[in-house]
Amino acid sequence: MKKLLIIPIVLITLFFTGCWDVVEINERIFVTAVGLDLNKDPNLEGEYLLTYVYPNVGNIKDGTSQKESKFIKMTVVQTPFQGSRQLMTRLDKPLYFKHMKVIVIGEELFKDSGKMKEFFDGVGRDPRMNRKIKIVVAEGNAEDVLSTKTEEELVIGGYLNSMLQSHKAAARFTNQTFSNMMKEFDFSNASMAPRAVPKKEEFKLSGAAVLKDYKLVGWLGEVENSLIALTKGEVVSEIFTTTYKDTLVSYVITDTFPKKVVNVDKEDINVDINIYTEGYIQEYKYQTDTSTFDEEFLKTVEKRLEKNIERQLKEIIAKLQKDYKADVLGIGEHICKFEPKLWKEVKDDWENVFPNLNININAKVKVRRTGLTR
Amino acid sequence: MEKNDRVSNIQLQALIITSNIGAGILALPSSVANAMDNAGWIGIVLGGLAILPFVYIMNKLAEMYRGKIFYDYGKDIVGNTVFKIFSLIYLGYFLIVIALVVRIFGEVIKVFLLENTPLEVIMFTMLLTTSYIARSSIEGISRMALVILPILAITTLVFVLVSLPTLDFTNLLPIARVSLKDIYHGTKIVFFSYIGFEIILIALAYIEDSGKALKSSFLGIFYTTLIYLISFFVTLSQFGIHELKKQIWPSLSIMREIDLPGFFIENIDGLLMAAWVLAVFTTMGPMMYTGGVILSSLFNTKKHDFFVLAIVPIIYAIATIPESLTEIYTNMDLIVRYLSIFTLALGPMILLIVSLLKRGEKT
Repeated sequence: MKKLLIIPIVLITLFFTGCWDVVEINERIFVTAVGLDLNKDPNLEGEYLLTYVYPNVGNIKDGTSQKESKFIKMTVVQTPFQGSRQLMTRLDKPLYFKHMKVIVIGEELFKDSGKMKEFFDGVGRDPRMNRKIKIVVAEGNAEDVLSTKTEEELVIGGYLNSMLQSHKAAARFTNQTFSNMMKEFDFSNASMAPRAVPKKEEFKLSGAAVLKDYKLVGWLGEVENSLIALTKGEVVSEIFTTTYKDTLVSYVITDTFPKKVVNVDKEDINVDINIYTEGYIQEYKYQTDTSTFDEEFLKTVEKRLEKNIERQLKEIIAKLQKDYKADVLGIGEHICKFEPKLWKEVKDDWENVFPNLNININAKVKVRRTGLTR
Repeated sequence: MEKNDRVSNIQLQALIITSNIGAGILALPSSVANAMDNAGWIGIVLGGLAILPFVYIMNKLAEMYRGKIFYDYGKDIVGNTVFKIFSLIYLGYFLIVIALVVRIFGEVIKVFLLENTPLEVIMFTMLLTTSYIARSSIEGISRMALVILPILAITTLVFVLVSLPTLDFTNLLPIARVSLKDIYHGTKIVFFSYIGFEIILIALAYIEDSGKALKSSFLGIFYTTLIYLISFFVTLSQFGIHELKKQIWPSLSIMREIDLPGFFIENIDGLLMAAWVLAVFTTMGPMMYTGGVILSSLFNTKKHDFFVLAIVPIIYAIATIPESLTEIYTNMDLIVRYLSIFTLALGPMILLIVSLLKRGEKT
């Protein structure tokens, strides 16, 4: 009798199980990138223009089919998170954001701090989005960046993502994740994000957007960005040049060790940023009598590089302090962590304290190798 | 209750750890950070220490009435009628705590995993599953704790390992800046995260080596503290203090911070969720068991198992009362706190004092 009971139990477990939430993987649309812009078309109601990019999954399977490798959908909505609902009227499958990699935000939209705060709050709340989503600010429209045709990678979201991840040119733009950006805003109300510049057939990532109070206040160029990356120790490989006897000498930085020292004398807060870099000589001049194996040559080159870095950084910092008033160097964060007493005094007034800091740059350059020739 | 079932000391330890760690660990890092900022770890350590005297009292009582459970020897101490009131308070406390835990469980599962599944179904299936283990003996529950503990330990380890690459330990700084008032508030919050260890009121009666019972209980609390500390440090160094304060369930949200290489293998929140479901199960199981035991002691029955199924609908009804997550974390949590002051601290303390006085009279 007891053995007979097993049969109904087995049947029940087989037929009475179910799942409300099951959505098969081929029934989902994996959005890889989203672009946000202000809507400029007066005929359409809504403030945001959203661009969704997702791969043509069928195409990935077939390999070399001639079909479009990605789809781009655009919609105009009142709030960014309405976008995916709005698109349900035009798509057969639900959008799925768990594997979203990049958010591109248009320049005009990022100038509205209120809207950005709302949007970032929404991202923070959504349990389905990864907090390591990369944020990119587009010069012009995010739409243009995302609709660029790319050859190499199948999907633009993936393409942009691998661009951001590659460290070879990392100093020209610096990767920024949502979670890190929020952290920087929390500490000093200022942050940076890489800039994407759309061109006709392509787009490039170069420089950075300077953000303050969730608002775009200005841009930094490629070189400026690499110098700021230097103070943060984020440079993996970057060339700096100087002249020696009227010849350009290129120096490749392979390692940076920045250190911030804060001390207070009387009223002033002094911040010393000590940058120690190591690297090798990439090019000099080929001549029978020139040699890089020369104590005097190396010393002079090192000195000049140091001077160069210090001078350029000073200009940038002056710009940050006076024009942008944005502490993207992470000085506030540093003080908060290592000088908590001082931070307690200045944190409420950090907006006004930062422009008046005495920031000194001390660069130390070491040429460790000179390549294969003398 | 069979006479021959015994709880070994290592099982007791596992039982304490798994009963303690449940729904509380999700919110603990952020609630403690809200009270004490970066110095929250001090609160966690102090909270663990503050629990120890009460663990000692419970052990002392068990020692004086060896072989009997709290809900039986209580009658001998303060008399049948008075202890009935005690028992009712304890029963009410357990019902509300289980209801709170299962409601939080339902809310979390709904947010992170099963969006469309009705909350009621999530809660009811969990309650039914738990009632299965609650119907077995204390020995069965202890064995289950010992089986599940390694799973929890390994998951904690994996959770630390996968988040290591993105941890920024400078977020821990400044590590010990806190005022005395904040320490008081923080410790108070942490104290209630140790709710669950009161299973020893029953388990101690069945302990194998009663000489080492106190040591095992203390060790159980110690390991709980350790796991709380790990979760605090990892979430803090991952989120940074400002973001941590904003999170409702930092220990689970942390899975959104993890960025493993590759396009599709990230988002491993399922792993952590699975372990957490077990942790909730091992918190609710012993509590539901205790509820059954209290009822069987009230009605003087030999078995407790039929009471377990009877309380499931009551728990379910209580769990559906709060209207929103905010209400759960303000009102319901508050009721549990007030009740737990009695059940964890006052109740055992009163019994100990009365029984000591009685002994004094006799000699």
